[in-house]
Amino acid sequence: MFFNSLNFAIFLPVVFALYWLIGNKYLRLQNILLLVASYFFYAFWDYRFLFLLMFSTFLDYSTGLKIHQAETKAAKKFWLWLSIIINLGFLGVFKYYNFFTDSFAVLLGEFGLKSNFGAIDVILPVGISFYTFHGLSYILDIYWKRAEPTRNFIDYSVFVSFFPLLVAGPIERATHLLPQIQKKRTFNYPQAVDGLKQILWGLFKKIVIADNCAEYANMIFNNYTHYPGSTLLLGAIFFAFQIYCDFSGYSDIALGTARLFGIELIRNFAFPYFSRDIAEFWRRWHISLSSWFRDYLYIPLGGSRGSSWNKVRNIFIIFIVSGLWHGANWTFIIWGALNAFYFLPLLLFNRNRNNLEIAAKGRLLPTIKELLQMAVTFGLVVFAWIFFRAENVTSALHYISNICSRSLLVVPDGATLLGTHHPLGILALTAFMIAVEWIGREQQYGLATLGLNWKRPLRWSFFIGLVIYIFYFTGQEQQFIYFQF
Amino acid sequence: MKRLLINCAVFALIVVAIIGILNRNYYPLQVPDNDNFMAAMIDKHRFAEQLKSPRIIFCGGSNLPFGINSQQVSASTGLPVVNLGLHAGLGLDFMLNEVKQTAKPSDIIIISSEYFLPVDGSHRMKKLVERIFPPAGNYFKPTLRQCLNDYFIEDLQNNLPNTIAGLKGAQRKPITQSVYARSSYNEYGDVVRNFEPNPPHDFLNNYKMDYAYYPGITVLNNFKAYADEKHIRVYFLYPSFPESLYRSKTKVIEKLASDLDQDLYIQILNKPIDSVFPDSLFYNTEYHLNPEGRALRTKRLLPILNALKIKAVSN
Repeated sequence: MFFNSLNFAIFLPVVFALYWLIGNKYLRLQNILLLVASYFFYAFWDYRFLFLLMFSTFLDYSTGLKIHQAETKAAKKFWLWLSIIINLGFLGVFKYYNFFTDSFAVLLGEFGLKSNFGAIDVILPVGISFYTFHGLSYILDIYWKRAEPTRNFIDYSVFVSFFPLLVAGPIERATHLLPQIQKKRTFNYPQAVDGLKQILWGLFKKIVIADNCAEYANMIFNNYTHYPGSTLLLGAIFFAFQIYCDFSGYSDIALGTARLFGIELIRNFAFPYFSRDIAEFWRRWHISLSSWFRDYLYIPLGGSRGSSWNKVRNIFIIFIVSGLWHGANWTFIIWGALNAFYFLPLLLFNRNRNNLEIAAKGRLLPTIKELLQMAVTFGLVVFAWIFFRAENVTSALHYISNICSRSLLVVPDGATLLGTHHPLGILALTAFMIAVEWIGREQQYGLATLGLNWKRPLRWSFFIGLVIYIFYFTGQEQQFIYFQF
Repeated sequence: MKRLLINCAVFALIVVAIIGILNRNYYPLQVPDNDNFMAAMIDKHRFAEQLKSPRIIFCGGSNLPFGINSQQVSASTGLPVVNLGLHAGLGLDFMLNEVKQTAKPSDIIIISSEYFLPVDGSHRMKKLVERIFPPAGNYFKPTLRQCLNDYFIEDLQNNLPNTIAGLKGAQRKPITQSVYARSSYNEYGDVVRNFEPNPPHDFLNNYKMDYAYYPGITVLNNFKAYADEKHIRVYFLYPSFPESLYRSKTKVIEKLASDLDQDLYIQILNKPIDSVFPDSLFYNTEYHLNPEGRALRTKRLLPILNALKIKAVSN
């Protein structure tokens, strides 16, 4: 069930109504409802994988208790590694088996050796990377004594499967979400309205911006040999906004939906394209994943302590693993490595924490310096996105070499881009989205405070306008990009 | 909670009302110079209304406008003829509902549907036809999901730009020279103009047709019952099909024909092989004959129809 589908438009109000009809007097019943609704939501894709999700949930719940109860360090370690191996084993089989066997076969081929591992033909279960990481964070937190295991299986299952975050995050932490599931939740009008606004903004970003940018990005990336460098550059920019609006739009809908149920999820995006350096970008992009890798991989590896060599090694490990998390393809690994290269100078010269606050905080406009910094950072990010989007490394290199040609100076011809809506119209809407996000950049999401001081007719007109734009620009239901990860 | 529900309800009502205003078809494309291929439906129905019953009405997909010389059929049978065949994408159900609302007692309906023609067809295509020819809205019944999608999305996306263009006084699209244009039809509803000299014959490659019991048989039988009640005669005619594809799909077609022989209550006028023609007589799809092919198909059809006319007289 997609967030941008009619099914979800029916599902959400029904679950919402039942949830608050039950009321906070019956917390257990509310949680059971959330669990049933979440499993129904997940089974809508493929009910067979529901059993995998249930197994994974049961595994982490049980091993969490075992780790806590174990009296010796060795026993704790045993249960921890059992859970890690099984969790990552599933992920490895479903997501990485073919990639590693293919790559290994190519490597053997270089030495004149033959191999025949045989490919497996399986569908990647939706959300496996996300719920596996939920479970891992839970058992690691218990192992490191940052959290106590819950003895309530329903509560734990809701933590793993809560439908707003089940298939594409944000990747929650037990320390943050479980206490909210375990305590009574009361209906809060401002929170619910805020949730609805965030859902509206998420849908606008996904349907109006991302899906339309996708049409052009796909057209240009799929036929990159036919376009001049300037159009290819435009294609990369279209993709940059596609992926941002697709994923942050999804996260906005997820966070807004959770708010309707009185639950606050971890923030996943904090206006990353307003970042002034790559370190800031990574503090603002897919925050729940970046912080997961920071807490469960980077810091255990030594983080930024130790020798320069250790720092370099750790940064490369974390970025390459992050790339690999996105998919089993060399393009993602190169994308990760490229970001590591961007990040390293900042780390080695201790400049990675220069920009902790949002750009131009307390001011309407940025300084020229800030504007230039943002432009350079955006340029670097767009360059890396080319690898992320390309079918393979060769295509990415050709794409880049075609951009870096004389045809970069050719004015892009709109007539060669035959999309549903005119590309200039899409760029204008993207500019509108950027303006709204810039105005709201000190808030949780772009639309959070916009219009709060306006008179109701004007405020409602603005929101109604957004709704009509969403309907007007709705195309074929487009899958969210991060569902494939 | 009450406040939220009231506000949401009011907000939703305003949205529904505004969309209801914006999604109307204020400028239906029912203007004489509109040249959309599907706009031929306007002319076909206008022509059908002018004819006195008993009439011969051809019903089916585009194999008919590309494959029948209605004028010749009319001259040979002495009955007025209208060819309602337009596009297979509309689906069998739409076509039969269209002909239900057009036919009168004593009319003769000849159904020539493409092999395994989908019963439901494409909703988007039906909506397109409805926009051009609003009475076509009576020929299909959308599901609730389709109704919602039409109201909030499809109608808004298609009609709003038309309204804006209409308000601006934008010129209608000029008449094209494509065979897929309203101007390519003659008054009977046959495609007779704008054929390209050397159209590609790619359709002969990678053609797919798999056997499954055809659900349209039940739909056709229901239609037959309706027609009997209204004293309308109905016949079934196999569509034109290229020789090479027939050879590769003989088993599938014969199995379908066997099902039709066994279960279809409508009289079948010919056999699949009777509608098979050399590949060179096809224009640009496996069902579209070129003018020479159309002449041959009509020639084969006339004796069959004349026999029917004799029957009609004797009855």
